[in-house]
Amino acid sequence: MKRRTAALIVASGALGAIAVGGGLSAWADWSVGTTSGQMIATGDTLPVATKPVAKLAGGVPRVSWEAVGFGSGQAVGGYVVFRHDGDDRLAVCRGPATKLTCIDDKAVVGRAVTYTVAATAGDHWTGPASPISDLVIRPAVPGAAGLAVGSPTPSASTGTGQVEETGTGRTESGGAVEPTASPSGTATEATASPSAEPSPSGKAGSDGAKPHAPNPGQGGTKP
Amino acid sequence: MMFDFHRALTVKRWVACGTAVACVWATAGSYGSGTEFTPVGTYAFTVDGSPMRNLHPGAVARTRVTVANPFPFPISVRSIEARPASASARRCKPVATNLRVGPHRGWLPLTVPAHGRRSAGEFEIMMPNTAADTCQSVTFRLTITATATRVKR
Repeated sequence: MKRRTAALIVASGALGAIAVGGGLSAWADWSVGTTSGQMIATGDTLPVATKPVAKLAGGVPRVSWEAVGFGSGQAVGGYVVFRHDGDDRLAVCRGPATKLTCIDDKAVVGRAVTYTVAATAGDHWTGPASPISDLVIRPAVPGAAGLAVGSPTPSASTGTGQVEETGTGRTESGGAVEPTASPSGTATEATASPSAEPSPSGKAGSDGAKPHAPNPGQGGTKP
Repeated sequence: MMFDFHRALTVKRWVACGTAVACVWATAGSYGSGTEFTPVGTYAFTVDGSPMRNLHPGAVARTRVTVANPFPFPISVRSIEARPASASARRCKPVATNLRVGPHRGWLPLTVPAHGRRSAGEFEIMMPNTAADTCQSVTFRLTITATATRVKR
């Protein structure tokens, strides 16, 4: 009887040890585990747009530029055009990569303005601004010169109906329409050189009439 | 009732002998079929992906994943996942609006031979149009996590 009991104890102990040890070793053997590795993804950079050409077309500033692409050769998403008037900068056109011109029909008559272009991609990417274009002055439309002489109309300078406000929060309010040098109102198409300062003949020069500020000085800034 | 010293000694011998056999058996089982034994956690298999460059809003890139098996036995890769872990610019966070990682493209499970390497498919990485302007020129680090088991023969 005792021998049988001893045999049972030995057998159950051996089976238990086998079950526990074998099970644990099988688990340890089977599971190699989980591991982590790394990979790198680098974002591209928008290129600098070429210096835009600003000319008058039909009495309205027309800005054009050449297409640029990413360093990888892929096209950018589009372009944004900024008008610089003194210290103010305003986005006046925003379009796809296939559009390489911008008609700034909101440019203020008589103001010396310049333009810069920046490439865009996606909803938020904006590249560095291009070199500043040459100065251009929108001539007065027929009949406007007489109205402007001596009586600047600040409200006539904004024209934000179509232009898009940039992140700078600056507008062109406060700018004044100044008379051009052609009282007859003939709108000659010409691009002014940086030294071409219009001569506001007969201008009152007061009442907040803002003198020309052909000092864009905003090149290289991002919106 | 008298104490039988002889019988008691016999029972103890049986117990000791049985325990010894059980221990040897269990230990032998953990060593498998007599091959080199590599304890779990001593060294792991490795997984990595090829670098991707020139990501910009709307761009899609693919990275190839490779698994290396340092063990002296084949392993079976059961799962592979990837996610953005960090970005080099503080103002460009590794979130889905800036970088998205698609599901793993490849066949699983994948058997990698002992001391071998195998291509384990690829991941599609996309920079959405919502990517922040501050993500220009930023380097993202993505973590790949893989799980494998030993292949029993």
